[in-house]
Amino acid sequence: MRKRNVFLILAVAVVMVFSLAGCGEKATTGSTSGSATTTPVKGGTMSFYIGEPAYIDSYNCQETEGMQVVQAISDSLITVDSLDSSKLLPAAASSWSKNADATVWTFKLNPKDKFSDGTTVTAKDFIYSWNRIANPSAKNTLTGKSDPSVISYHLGFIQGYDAVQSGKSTELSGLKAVDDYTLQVTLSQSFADFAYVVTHPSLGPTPQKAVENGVTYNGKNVAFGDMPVGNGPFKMAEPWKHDQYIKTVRNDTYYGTAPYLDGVDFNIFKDPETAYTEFEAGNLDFTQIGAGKIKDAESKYGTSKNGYTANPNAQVLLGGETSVYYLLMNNENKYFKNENLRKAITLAINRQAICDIVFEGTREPADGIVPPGIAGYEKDTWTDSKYDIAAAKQALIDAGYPGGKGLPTVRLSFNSDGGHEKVMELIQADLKAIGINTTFDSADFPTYLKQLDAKNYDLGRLGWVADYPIEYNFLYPVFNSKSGDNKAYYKNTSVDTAISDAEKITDDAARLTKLQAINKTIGAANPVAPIMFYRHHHVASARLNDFTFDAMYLGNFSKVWITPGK
Amino acid sequence: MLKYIIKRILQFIPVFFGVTLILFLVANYMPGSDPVQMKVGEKHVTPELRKQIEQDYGLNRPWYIQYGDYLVKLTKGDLGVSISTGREVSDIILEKYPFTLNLALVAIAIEIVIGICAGVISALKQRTFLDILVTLATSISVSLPVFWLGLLLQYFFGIYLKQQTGGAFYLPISGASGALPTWEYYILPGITLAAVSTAYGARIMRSQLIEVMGMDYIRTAKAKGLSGRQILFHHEMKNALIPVVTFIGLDFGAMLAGAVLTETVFNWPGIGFTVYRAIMARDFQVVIGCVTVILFAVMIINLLVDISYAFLDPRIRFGGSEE
Repeated sequence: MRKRNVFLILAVAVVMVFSLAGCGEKATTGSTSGSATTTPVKGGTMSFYIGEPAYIDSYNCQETEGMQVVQAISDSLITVDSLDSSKLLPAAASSWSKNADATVWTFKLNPKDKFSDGTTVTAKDFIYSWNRIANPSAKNTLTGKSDPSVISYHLGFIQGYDAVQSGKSTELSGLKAVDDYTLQVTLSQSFADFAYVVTHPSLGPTPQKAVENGVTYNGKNVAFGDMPVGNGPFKMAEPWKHDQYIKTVRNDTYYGTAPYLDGVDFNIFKDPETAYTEFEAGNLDFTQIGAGKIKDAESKYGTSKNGYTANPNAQVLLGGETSVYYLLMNNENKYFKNENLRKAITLAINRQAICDIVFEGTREPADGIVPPGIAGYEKDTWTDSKYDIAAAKQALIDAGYPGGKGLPTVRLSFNSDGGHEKVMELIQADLKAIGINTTFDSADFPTYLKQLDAKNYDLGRLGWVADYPIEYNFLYPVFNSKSGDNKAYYKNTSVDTAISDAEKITDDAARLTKLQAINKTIGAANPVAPIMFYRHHHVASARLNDFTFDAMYLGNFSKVWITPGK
Repeated sequence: MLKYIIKRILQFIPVFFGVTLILFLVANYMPGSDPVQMKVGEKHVTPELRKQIEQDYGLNRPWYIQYGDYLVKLTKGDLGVSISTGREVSDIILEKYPFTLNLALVAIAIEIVIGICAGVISALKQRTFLDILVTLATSISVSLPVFWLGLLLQYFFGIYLKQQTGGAFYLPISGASGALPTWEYYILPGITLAAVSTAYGARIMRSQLIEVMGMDYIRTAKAKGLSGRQILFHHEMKNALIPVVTFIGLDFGAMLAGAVLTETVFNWPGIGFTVYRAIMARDFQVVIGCVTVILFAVMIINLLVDISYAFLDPRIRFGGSEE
């Protein structure tokens, strides 16, 4: 009697487990009979991996996660060609012009441009949107409470910015709607690269009514912050499901060429590894490749030739990104103000080894501060940004510290929470090889940044991610003596002047030449040691055709199409 | 009994103040506690922006004023606003807690059914093949790291089976798809979350039952002529269950605080990862809000466990032993 009962319990448990397991009814059709077409076809929804964004309301959107969504649902005045950052393309503005000293910019808006709710986009919508960003008492639409934008610095050159930031005014005096379709922007100083600033996805127009009153969805009022309305090729299909997904569908009121896709689902994952597992299971169209699996992915899915555009059997993207990781040297420090010492350090670092050992090829050695993908990028602009031990030892002799004699043990500072320790271990070994002894000094991120602000470091690390793909965006913030992001405390007044002079040159080619020259001048002084550029390590599914994920880390959703039947 | 329950509830008060006060002190005196910098990222924070954010989020006030403000607002059900996302903390919790609670219920059900059954079987079938099987299975289960087991399950049920059956038969890997996921989404994370505790539960059940089976009163029961089933359910199980109930109750309380590893591997939108992310972002309002809710949940579970003792053990019910 008892015997049977025991087996009954066991049998029930086993049956339960296996009957639970037999429930994958939601199976997608596994047939891959779709004929290989080469002409784009409409239809299909693409699924795209992102982490949980902080904001998708463009006024406070700064990180790459939210930016993907904003990029799909909102068009700025101008856009950058996904594959050639030197080319600017019309978007919400069909044309634009600047005056002789690049202080007054006029944008002619496309009269066909509409928000996805059907209302026409006018110059006033841009002004409203930008004033909201600049205004420190801007309200978060989710709570109705004050929540200032952390990206207002984009508008820093617009006349009246300081008055708005200090609360003396609520409107940027430099913004003017000449008429419904003409936006005039007056800057407080010459800035010939301003056209690139307005390509930023967060600077698109927002409809005041929807921002202030919310949006109606299924008879309920939803805050703009959870269901923003824009003028992009796609629109929100439903409110943001936090930590789960953001669904967008084609915006039928779009003024530009209609996208092929019916929609883009942004699937939110906590961990890229899980996203990659979902990709391998066939449930995601675009994601990062899991750690240590790049070679495997390349052999399974094929590698894209240009590194940015995915097509069937050329699905792995390894193109360079517009971000740089560099070793900081405290230029005000009694030892590191010595240019030759800085030169010795930068020559001593084996960048290729760091990229290969620590990052499995997901980074590439930096040959300067400006990464590829930036308009005007040239190879090997910083001549000392290479591995050459003999030259490093010579530079150390020139610096007056032969074999490291006379140098104290140097502090190598970094933030402990970002996986930098392995990089620092290799750098430590490289420096030891030329006779410079270092000791680790790590702290959590905010403490570390405070340490940099207090100039209380010898050597450190930082990364710089481009806001816009222009050289200026590296030279000014990282090296201008007045910039808050110049943590190396490099100070060269002639470089400061040269940068602002360059921005007075309205001829694009001439300005670029000048900026390239300034880059080389800075590079010759080695104020920092560029270590590596970031690279894509992404993969697309075999269904996707012509999907470009550009150097600025933005997906181009307007050209991609899905092979039917897949 | 009522007196006992009231006593238990009163004990909650010092626990609540102790935990929340320590958290406020830690948040204010911990090095690197700079939510403003974390919000902005690696870029430079201008003093104006810092001042504005600190003022908007009330970070410029001394900790005891912030603590008082938290207590006052708590009585109104207001848990404040997340600094990193600008969202109401109560919204975040209302959104995440059902996921955590449901997953915990599934895992606890697995723990109770499989853990207790396996423990009973192996105790009754001592030194047989079944006993060895259970012992072996629990040993393996205890020593498997949670995330690794999760990955194995994902690969087998999500990828391998799907490929082998041409997509006809598989289990979903992550919980991202539905508003509240349908039941098949709970299977893999549920098993993963329950694995280690189920094994412990089975082991405790086995050893307790074996101990009870050797007691004099069981021999007396047998001598009285009771059937095996009556002895098992009325005498052996009831006595052997107390430590198991304690263990499962504590485990359930722990699960209500969220399971960071399981939630990460299965992309489960629960409270555990939310707290983890908030700690990393120094988003203190979210941390304290979630901890407050978790604290209440754990206290309620502990109370229920204590009450359940009374039903299992008459000495507690009738006040025969000093608690």
